[in-house]
Amino acid sequence: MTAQTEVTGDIVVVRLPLEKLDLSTTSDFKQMMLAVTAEYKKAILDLSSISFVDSSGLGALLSVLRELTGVGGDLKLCCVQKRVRVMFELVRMHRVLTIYDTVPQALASFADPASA
Amino acid sequence: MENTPAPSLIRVLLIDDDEEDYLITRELLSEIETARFAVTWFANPDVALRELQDGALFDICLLDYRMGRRNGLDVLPEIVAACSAIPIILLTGQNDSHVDREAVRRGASDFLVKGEADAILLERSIRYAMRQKRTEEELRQQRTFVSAVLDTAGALVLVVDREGRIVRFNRACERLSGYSFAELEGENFDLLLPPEMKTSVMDTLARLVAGDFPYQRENDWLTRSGERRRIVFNNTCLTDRDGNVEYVVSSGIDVTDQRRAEAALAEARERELEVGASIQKTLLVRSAPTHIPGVTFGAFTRAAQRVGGDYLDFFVYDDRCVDVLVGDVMGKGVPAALLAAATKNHFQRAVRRLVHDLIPFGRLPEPQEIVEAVHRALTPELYRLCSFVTLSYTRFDLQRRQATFVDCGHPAPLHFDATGPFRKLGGENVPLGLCLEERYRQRTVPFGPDDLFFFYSDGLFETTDPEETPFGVERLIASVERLRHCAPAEIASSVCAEVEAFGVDGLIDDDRTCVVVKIARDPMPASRMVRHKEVPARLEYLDEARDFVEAALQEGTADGLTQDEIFRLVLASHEAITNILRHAYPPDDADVAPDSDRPSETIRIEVQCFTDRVILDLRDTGVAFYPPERIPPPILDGTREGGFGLFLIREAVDDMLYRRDDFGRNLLRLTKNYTHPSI
Repeated sequence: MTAQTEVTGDIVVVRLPLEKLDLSTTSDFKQMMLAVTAEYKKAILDLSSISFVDSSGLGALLSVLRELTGVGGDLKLCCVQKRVRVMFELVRMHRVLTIYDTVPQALASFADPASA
Repeated sequence: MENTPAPSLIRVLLIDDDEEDYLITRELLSEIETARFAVTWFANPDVALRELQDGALFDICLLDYRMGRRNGLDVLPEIVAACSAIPIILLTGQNDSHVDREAVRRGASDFLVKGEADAILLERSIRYAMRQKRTEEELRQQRTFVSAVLDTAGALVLVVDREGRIVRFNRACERLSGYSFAELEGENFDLLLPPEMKTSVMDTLARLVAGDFPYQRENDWLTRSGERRRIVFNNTCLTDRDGNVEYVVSSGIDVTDQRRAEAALAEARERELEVGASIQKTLLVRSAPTHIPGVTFGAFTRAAQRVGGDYLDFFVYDDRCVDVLVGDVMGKGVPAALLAAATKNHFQRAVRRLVHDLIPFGRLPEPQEIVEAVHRALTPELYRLCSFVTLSYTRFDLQRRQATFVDCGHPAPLHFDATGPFRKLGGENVPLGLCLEERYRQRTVPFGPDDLFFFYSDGLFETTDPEETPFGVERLIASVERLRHCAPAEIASSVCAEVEAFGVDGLIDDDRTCVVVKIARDPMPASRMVRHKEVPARLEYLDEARDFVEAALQEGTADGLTQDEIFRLVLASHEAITNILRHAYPPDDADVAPDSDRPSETIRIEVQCFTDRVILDLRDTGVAFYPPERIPPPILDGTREGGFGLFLIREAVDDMLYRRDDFGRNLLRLTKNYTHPSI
């Protein structure tokens, strides 16, 4: 299983072949993200296909975020479904992970740090 | 003596250095007509003594006082020493009262002045001396006989005079005390007493001497080695002619070992009571369940002096189903208590196993299935022990509002129906252990608000008053009826107190046990909707479980909860289920083929919708996990990847309860109150 990636400069946009990020898929997710983070420091995760995230999925996202910020990069999310957003807000993750409505908005934030 | 004819021949030993005197004496003797004398004369007393020492036999010794170099008084004791049985008459030339007294003191029977003594006087003196000697000899023999008897006796014999000085102290006394009679003769016997007993024992002696007669007393002796021995004495007094006490004779028996054995036995009995009581408390009785909505329980038990075999137990399946087990094992004491504990244990095992086995069928074991299982396992054992067990097993199904019971020869539980007639929940089944072919059958009765059930052991109604009238079941019913508006715990203890007041003071000859089950006036409102689903405890079923919860909530709570609240509850149940997968069924099970081998590893989800709240129950048969309270709150700054699950659950619900139930199942109950309760 591989993630679909689209590279713009040094930024990679990742689309997951998954419908949910929970206990049953986190190991696949981590596997796929390993390939991405080996090559890129700046990543945008397009979550449009993801309808459900649970605490394990959240943990996996945070783990990727920490890995990238550790090497001077960053992880940004976009196209988050309503229920996933509700979940993020429940655990205050919207303050830790920056979330954009669209891919271009996320791309723009990398170009202009002030917009973040 | 007087009646015996005089001996035909009296053997006389004459010791006199004067041959003239010998001839005179012989002449005198021959004049005596009533007896014949054979005289053996020795001029030298030393030769005579040798003869005596060699065993020569004489009936009387006539000893001259003045014999040249040897004085008769000096010879006297030597003769007594050589042959104490021979009476001696001292003959002297002149009357001298000093010699007379001295002669008698040294062992002579009489004293005769030569020349003054004629045949008549001599004959009488000889006769008297012989008779006196014979009497003395008899006395001596008697004393020897008594001494021998006393010394061979096992009992202690102690004789003291009025002041308590020791006069006799037999061999048994010597052996016990370590002192010899020779050491103690004439000593006050209080030296044998331990200090704290001296006064009271000497007081007893004083009362004995005064004529008051404490025949028996028990006190200690201190032996020479300092050991303390407990002795029971029987006392007798020896009085003189005037009736005054001269001696006190005490015969004693050493009861130290007996008293120790008695003490050990009493202690062992006491210990058995303690063991019994603690078995009763820890193994046989369980405190009544609390916090079950719609029903209150009360239990009271009082163990008999010797613990009986009453036992009771409760099995709480969930808020809607509770089983009550009360029973009694034949017999008393620790054996009965152990058997009762074993019976209780059989029930626990049977219930657990059946609950487990029936999980795939989504139902609980019926009371009759449980009793049957115990019957099959226990009855063969009871056969071997020649014992039997009575019991009543009753299930309270609060949702269906019915009690299902199996009676096994136990006093029939009482059902006080708030609206209908009073009834006894009796059955026809015999006690366990009597008949292997017996088939145990259950019966069901409905109950309603304010109904009351009373379970009891026979110790309650069989208690009798001092006139042997039993308390009886009728009185028991009346007591419960009178108290029925009290709290169950109070009913239970008050009824037992009434029975106790009725019975003989302080006597509890059988265990008294009762359990009160009271249905609330306003029992738990019936739920509007219940949906349940059982899924295998595997990741692939997470979506199915989530979809089920979501659908049930949408169906049952749409008018009470917002979509956001519903989603948060779905998320909470999902988190709870992943918790079960991760913690209740440990990951080392991963290599076991899940489908085939572990059908029982499931998660049971139940959604109950009420008019004001929704309850979400998750049950699993995995290992117990920590009560969530112990897990620290998560850190929400993005630096930690874990700990969100429980946070998400807590955020979504109003109440979270974790319990490990009686059957080794984990229950996690999530309750969410409606924000806009519907009517």
